[in-house]
Amino acid sequence: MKKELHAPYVATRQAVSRRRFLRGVGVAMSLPLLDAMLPRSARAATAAATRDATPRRMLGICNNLGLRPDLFFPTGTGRDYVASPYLELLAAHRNDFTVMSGVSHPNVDGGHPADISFLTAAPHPASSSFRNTISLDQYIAERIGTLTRFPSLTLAVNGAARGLSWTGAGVAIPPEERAADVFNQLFLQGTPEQVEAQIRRLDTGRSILDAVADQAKALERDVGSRDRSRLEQYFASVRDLEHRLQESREWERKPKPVVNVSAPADLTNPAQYMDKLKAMYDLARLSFETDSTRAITLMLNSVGTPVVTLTGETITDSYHNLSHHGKAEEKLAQLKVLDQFHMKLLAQLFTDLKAVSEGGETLLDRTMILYGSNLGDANAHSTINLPTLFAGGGFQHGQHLAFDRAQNYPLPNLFVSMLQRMGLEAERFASSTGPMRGLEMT
Amino acid sequence: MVGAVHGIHSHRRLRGGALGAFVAATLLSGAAAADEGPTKVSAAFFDHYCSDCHYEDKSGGLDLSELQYDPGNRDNFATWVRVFDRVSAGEMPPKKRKERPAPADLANFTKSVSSSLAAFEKELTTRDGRAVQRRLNRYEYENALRDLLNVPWAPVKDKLPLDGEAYRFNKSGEALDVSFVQMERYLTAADYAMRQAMSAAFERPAQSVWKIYARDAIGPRRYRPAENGTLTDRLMFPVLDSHAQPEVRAGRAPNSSPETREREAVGKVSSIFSDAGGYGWGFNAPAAGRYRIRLKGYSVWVSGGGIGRWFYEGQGAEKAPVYWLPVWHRPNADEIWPGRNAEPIGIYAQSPGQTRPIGVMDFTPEPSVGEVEVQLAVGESIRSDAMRLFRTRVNGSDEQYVNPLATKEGMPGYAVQWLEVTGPLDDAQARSGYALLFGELPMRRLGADEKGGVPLERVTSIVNTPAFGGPGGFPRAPSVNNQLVEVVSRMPRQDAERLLRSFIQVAYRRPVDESEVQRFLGLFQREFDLGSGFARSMLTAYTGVLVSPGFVFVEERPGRLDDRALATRLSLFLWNSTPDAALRARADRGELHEPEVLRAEAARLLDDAKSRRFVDAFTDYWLDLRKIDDTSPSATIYNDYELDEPLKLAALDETQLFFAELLRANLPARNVVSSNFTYLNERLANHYGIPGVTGAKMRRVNLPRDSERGGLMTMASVLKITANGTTTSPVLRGHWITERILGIETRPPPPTVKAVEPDIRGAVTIRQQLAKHRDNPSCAACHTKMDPPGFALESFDVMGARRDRYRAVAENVKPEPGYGLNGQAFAFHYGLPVDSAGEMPDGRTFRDIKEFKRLVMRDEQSVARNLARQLVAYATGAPVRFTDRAELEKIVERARARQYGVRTLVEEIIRSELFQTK
Repeated sequence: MKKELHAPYVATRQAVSRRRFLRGVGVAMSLPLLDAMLPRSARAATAAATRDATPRRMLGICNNLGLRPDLFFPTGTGRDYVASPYLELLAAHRNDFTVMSGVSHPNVDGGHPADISFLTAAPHPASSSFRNTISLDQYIAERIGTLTRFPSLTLAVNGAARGLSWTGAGVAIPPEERAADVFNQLFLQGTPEQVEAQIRRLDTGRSILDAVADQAKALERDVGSRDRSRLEQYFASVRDLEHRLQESREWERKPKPVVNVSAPADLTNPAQYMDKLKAMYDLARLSFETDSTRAITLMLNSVGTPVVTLTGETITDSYHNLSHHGKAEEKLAQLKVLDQFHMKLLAQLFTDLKAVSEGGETLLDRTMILYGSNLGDANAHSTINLPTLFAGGGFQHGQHLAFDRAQNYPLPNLFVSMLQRMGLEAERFASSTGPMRGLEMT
Repeated sequence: MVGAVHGIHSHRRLRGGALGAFVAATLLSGAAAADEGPTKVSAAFFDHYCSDCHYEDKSGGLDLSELQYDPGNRDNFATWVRVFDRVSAGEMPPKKRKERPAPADLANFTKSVSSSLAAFEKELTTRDGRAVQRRLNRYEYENALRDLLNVPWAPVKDKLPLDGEAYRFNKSGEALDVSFVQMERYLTAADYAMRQAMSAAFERPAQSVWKIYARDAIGPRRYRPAENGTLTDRLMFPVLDSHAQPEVRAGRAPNSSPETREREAVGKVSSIFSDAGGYGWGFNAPAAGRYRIRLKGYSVWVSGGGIGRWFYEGQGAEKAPVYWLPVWHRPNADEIWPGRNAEPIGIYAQSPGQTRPIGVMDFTPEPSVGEVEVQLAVGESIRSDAMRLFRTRVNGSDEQYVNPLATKEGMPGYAVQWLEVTGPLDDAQARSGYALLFGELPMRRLGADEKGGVPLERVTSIVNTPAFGGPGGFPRAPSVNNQLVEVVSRMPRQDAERLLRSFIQVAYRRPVDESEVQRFLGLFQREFDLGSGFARSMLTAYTGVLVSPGFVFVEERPGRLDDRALATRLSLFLWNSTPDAALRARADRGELHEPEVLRAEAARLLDDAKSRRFVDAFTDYWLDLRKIDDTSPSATIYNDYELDEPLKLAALDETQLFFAELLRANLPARNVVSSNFTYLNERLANHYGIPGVTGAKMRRVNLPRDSERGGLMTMASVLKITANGTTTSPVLRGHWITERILGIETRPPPPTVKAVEPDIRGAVTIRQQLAKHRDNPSCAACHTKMDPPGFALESFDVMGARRDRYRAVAENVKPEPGYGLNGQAFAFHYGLPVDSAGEMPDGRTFRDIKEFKRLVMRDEQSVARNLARQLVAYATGAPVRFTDRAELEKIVERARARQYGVRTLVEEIIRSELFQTK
């Protein structure tokens, strides 16, 4: 609800239009932050290591109605699993993804509202004293966000009010749901006035920091050594932040990447759900290809989607109604059509990412894609045994990681593995118990 | 300088050669006897009396042959203090040893050690003070901004990173680090709070009344399972005068009619869990401020035997519902009767990603109106919910669950008639935050083609109806957008200087140097010259002030605090905020250090409502109340507590209200351990098995004479925090109680010791598992101290309910009959009996918690001393150190006449040297 504005001289990296700036952080433009707890030297080392390392990326997708479990989950385990009807549609990419069963976020329950915890794993999202916590993409953006023009992108289909990205303060980052707007932000040069305005804001932040750093220096003179070390720490933090603002400022002067495609059509009708989704997938690929960002989230708000228009198919009920099929044949059949289309779009995304090469690898090999849901079975609002696909990113795929479908394995463990693949030193994320069992890097 | 240079001397020696070692130590430590610490004397003492167990790390766990004297190293200093304490208390050498230290040796040793340690610490205190300079913590920063800018609703704390913790509290400079994340969040938080203050003054809406009828808010579509097969116990239903309206529910009669409008209601039998729960009223606060919320409704009783679930088949015109069979525990919403009991109704304020409880009231069988007054942020919406009713959780893909409150005769429910919101309530202070920032200068909307401006949040749509959910049942997001405003100044430079000067004087807690005014004025000037406009340029300068060391840091100089620093320390202690104008005035006049003035100011602060901040912040850390949600009761073993919000909220309230009462009424500190009263409402009283308490309101209750409750140890909050949701461990609970309540610090176990894995299969108790552990003498040293309270508390489960047997889960044992609050069948059975007997370190035995408390109560002074010690760490940011012990004893001694009244302890701390020097 509240559009959380950061202090303007810190917050925004790029504003395409006045309207967008006023809306606040449409594309996640909050200042990327390194881990505050790392000592300075370790932090610098991490940053250097990250800068030189192979670029790694993540795309987290939550379809908040999930997929029909009977047609999604495979039989058999390990590498010899037998593909389910849905997975058959991804057969060409069998060795590029891992399918998981029996995984969920511990204590994340409550049915539909659980989607906002999909990338945070914050427990009991429907309870009366809930506060969300940092999401996986923002955790990454805080650490390596200055490496790219945009620390992260928060996208949605039919979900301007519901996103997957949450700041360290548990504040929602409103998602961007118009692909054309995002495209413009990514690739359209701002006017010189806009660039100047942005630089001015960053400079204002730096001038504030300069003023307070001066004061800290002045105060340091009259205090004892233990107290001085506290002021020195303050001073160092101010200088650190100034440095980050400087890095942000440098991005403003750099020309944006040029891409050889035209801006996507501005789709506004929520019934064009699948077209909008395709446009978002294309945008994600372009963003990664141009190294504009390393972390993208995409909420597919199927719950808020009316009767989907799909060429050649007859869909007669809203997406949400179809999900509550009550085992009625017609509804099941229509839901299957939608689910299958999801699989086809995913297959296309994988194909497209494989077609791009970077440093001798395909882009898919460097892009972790998590496709899943907060619901294991939307018909019953259950939040366990989540249908989960994990593709690309440089892991040994081609397997079915099967866990107990009643007593689930913690899905936050996958987040730990993803952070480690990103090159970040992470032992834990939310309620994780370690890295994902059975998932090995290549 | 002691320590860092001269003090580091290893005197590792071969065992047995006492004289040789003495010589070696003497040679190594050089000549400067005063500087070198206790090594000369201690080496001889160690060789003689301690070497059997403590050289080459035999079994004693502490290798004295390796012990250097390096007081600058905190761990080393603590080790020496521990050695001193154990020897002077006669615990070491152990009594079973034949040879006792000669009195002269003992005196020589303890005197040498204590004078070295004291000399080091005193020098440190003179040079740097007891406490390290610190910044405000996130609680204090929030309160400081709220008070300064008069924005009591503004959430600031949660925008800042978590604070570090030292000596148990978030009050020590040693742990309150500053990172650039901290700086970035300060910038954001300061800007946010100032814009909130502007928002409260900008085109402030007149006080209005919104009355929302449940029938308007709820369309008839929420009465019937729509196409998505909603389960009937999640549905709402029309109620009129405590009876059903089948015609309305079926859609054959209008949902509302003028004759019955005031009496119409909408009912429900379940509580918030999924999106299908609760009443979202679709009201969004049009401006931040205080609102009065009134809710009318009553409890009902609903027959069972409703349809289990409805489904539809067919498409288009052929679409038709398909019914399942009636089920006894599902509501039949066409048969409704007056309620048989009162239902507690919770009221919540909601915004995306956050829900917070703001009030509670009772719906009785007769209609009644409940009322709460709250601070709302702009755009926050209101939700109400019958908190006690069950939460329709599904397990796996099986949608079956049973309402645990359903009987063969039906089930409880509630019916709501209307919600009335009045506000923002007139508030003479509403503009005071703005006035501090911009004086009398007016605000105006910024034109579309103008530069600059400051965005303020505005709500464009205040009531969204029909609002119960919206598509898919999500709480509807309000329409909040930002309006750009500018502040009109005819003489910007003069206004800026005037406003900024007075702002800094209020914000800083000390006299302001002219160069500082100029520094921040420079920020304004720069920004204004760039064309950012007056308002933005001023906010830029103010932001500088609010993130600068002068505001963020607590400025204290070694030695006695001056009056202004004393004012800040006093205010941070008792209000968790910066001083108000009255306190500052006293400090400015240089009177505050006068004992009578200081006493009067302390009394004024304690008597003010803001002292509740002290109670909440202190108990958040001392008792870990902030961790109440860290674990959840196991859905397998304890699903009768699944999301039992009323219980959890009451448990928190109990502890906070109890401590507030000790402070208000100056009750003896022994109440911390054992008390004849506590605070309860119906839910918590039922939990404790105490009869005669009805309704949701918390109130002071005198406990039955033989009650095991009373005192902190047996409060549900503490018992929950010291368990993990699944099992209890006497070690962890015992350790927590000895540290927090009894004031005995025990060190963590050696890293090689494995924790005992709780076994919930029922064949063995944790106590039996622990027995082996306690047999090991080196483990026993600490365990004999910390296990006893843990054993005594074994008769309380993970939520603090009384238990005589453990709960267990095993595949071959039939579970207890019944259903949890989540509608799922119980999975546990009752296993082995609980044994709550134990033995104190001195050999006295107890059978249960009541006897344990009685034993602890024999030494009231120790209980008071511990509380005083916790309070000193909280109030001064430094623990009671070696040389502070005497002063602590004075504090405790002075409070003795008042039976160690809690308020007296607080006042004596404020009077003490510890409080009045840095």
